[in-house]
Amino acid sequence: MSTGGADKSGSGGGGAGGPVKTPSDFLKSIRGRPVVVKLNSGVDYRGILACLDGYMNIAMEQTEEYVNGQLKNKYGDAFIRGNNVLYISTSKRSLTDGA
Amino acid sequence: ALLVATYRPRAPQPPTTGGGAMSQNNPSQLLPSELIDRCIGSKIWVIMKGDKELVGTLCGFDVYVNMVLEDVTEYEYTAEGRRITKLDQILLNGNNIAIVRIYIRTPTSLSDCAKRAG
Repeated sequence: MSTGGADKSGSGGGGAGGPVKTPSDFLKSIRGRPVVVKLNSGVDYRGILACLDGYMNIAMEQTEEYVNGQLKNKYGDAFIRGNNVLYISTSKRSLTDGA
Repeated sequence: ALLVATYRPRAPQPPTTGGGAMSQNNPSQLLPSELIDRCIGSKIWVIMKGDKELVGTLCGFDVYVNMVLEDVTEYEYTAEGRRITKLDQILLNGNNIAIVRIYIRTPTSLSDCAKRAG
């Protein structure tokens, strides 16, 4: 029985999503693309994703560090250890507003 | 495929009552991961450890319950107020996930309820 592994090919017609995209599919699809990586601390890193693995260890290029939405630092190359990563996002659109 | 993607609010079998019923090899026993599998393609609401909630469409997940979510709205509750972030597609680390629900109402209304209750 398939229980959330990488072999769920048949299901996924439930909503607007289209085909099922597992975390490993996602990791394969975003290499070389601009991404936003948010850490557990709340700090955002925006840049080009050079390389990553199943631990969510990440190597980024042209990295910008955002704290509370404000640019704090720039790094040519950055390595992020996977245990700190809250999420990896494709960066098409992103906006914030306070309340 | 064996698994059904659409969410059915009521499972076809009655809930098991305890260890005795669980120990029987019941083919209709619903695994937790099957429950999440039924949410694929549906809008879900993820409550994280530490004042953070996300709403988005579930695209897939793995054995650690890392999730791929689409059209995501992230709600962070800070001392300054609520911060909303819109995201296209994300891979969410399963490490900090506390609760996963089918999305039915805004997290705002629930957190407001919680505030009113003290």
